[in-house]
Amino acid sequence: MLKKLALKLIKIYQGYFRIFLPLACRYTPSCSEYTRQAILKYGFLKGTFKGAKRLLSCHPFSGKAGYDPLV
Amino acid sequence: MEKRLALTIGLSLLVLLSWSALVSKTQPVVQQEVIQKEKSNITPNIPIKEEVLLKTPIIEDTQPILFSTNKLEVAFIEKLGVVKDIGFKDYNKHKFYLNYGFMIQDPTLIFHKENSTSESIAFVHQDSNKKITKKFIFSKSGYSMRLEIVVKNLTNAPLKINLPIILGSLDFSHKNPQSRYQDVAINTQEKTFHLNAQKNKTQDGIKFISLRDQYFCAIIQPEAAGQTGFINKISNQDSEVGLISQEFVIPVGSQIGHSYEIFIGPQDLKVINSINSNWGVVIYYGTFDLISQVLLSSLGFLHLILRNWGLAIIGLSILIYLVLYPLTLKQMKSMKEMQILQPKVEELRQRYKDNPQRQNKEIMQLYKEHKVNPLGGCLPLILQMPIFFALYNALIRSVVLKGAGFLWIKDLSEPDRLFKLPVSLPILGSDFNLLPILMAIGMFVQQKISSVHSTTGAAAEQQKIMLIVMPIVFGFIFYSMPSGLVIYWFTNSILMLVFQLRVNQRKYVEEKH
Repeated sequence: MLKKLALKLIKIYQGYFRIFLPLACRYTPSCSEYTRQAILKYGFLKGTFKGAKRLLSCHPFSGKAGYDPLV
Repeated sequence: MEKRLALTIGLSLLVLLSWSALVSKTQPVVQQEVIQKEKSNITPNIPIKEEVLLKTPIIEDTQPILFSTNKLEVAFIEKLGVVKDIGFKDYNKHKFYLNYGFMIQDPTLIFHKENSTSESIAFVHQDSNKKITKKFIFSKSGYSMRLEIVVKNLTNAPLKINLPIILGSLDFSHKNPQSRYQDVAINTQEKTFHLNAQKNKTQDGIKFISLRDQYFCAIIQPEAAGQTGFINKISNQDSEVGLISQEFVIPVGSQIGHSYEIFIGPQDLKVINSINSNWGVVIYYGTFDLISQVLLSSLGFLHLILRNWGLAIIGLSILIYLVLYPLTLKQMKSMKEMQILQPKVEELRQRYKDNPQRQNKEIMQLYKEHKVNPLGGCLPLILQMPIFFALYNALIRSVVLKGAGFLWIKDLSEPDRLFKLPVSLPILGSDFNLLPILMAIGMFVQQKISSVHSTTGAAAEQQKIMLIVMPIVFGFIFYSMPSGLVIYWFTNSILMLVFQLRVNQRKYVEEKH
């Protein structure tokens, strides 16, 4: 249930809201896509946690960037 | 081309949707008809719940009694002994509607005015069983008052009575421009509930309850503890908010009094706190309440120094910009470097056209070699969202901006209205507002010079459209917003623009290589 809702929300964000925001994500795949995949693979709790962790490392001072697929 | 069309349609829809969500909560027409019918079918013996519907004609028929203090102009309806609305003398006579404020919820009561002094006004109901006196006592200078209700038993037996008091009834019809700002706060000893008044709710053991519109609020605190607060949804368009006391018995030949402390005034923390510091929690700015409060106190501080609310808003914009400056700086530098690397990226794109995974890897490798972080990251963007919402919620409800002027703007809580248009335009209305247009232009220019050039294909096409559509969308959305809010965003985009120009001028990337 929560999983479905979260996936839906991410889809809505990717479909309608992302186009309004400047390009931002340092990673490929992007944080939202990464989170979506993580939720699909690990379920709501662990997936969200992984997504949040990724999001928290996505800022100019992190030093990390680039290709960072879900493992 | 098809994609472009789809995008354009999607965006237009978004504009329309956000427009209707922001500007008006339109109610379905069918509902209104149903209510009209109900009204005409009502017989005199109706249950208490529908009483407001019945009493509507009375309000229209009678001329309200006006009562004036230093700050307030209160309109009473004599027959019901209620407050219809309050005008605030210090705030351009903004009217705050309670409709049935402080009504005793009993349709059989008919009041008449007994006496009034410069500080108080009393209404009396008398029938064979009881005499009810409602006395409103106003404080001389401020926004507080007291309501004393005395019930006298005129029968030869003990009289059982309870006194449900309506604090006010809220009109959620689309005709009411305040409808989307109205909500209710119910406070118990431990907790404050901020509630949408379009859902029923009862809460025991309350300390005080309050309702508000965009800028003003009414708070009522009964002296007797342990009353029950309620929100009663009468129809899709009307809700009433009030208090129910416990039933009490009046012995033969005696009387019982109830009293209530009341505040009716601006949602200005200083004003409310000076009367009762517990009541401050009524001022609530939604999910990001804490950030809003911080932003507003900074704004108040800047006003102390700059002595003008318009300047204070510009100051706040600069302040927030400075706080986020390290992030912006880093981000802008990377963007500039990106622009210079772009030809190489394009080359890689072409080479690995058929293998997106490889393509991405190679591009990222390139970025790594040149030690650029391609983009600022999601976190700075997400961090700015709460600030955006908090500031929006704070400024849209800021009563201190009411009547505050700046340059050609008469009132920072309203659109700037440079001049009246000869015709009324569909969505925009008949005022010409300069600021939203300036803001849209500022946004456009700022995006134009900061956008990463020379991507090809659908992405570039999309980017080009966004460049034009986004400022227009924002221009539309901000067109009828308080000019104070627009000043904030205009200053913000000017700051970004100036900063961008400086980065461009320095061409620091070229020096580095």
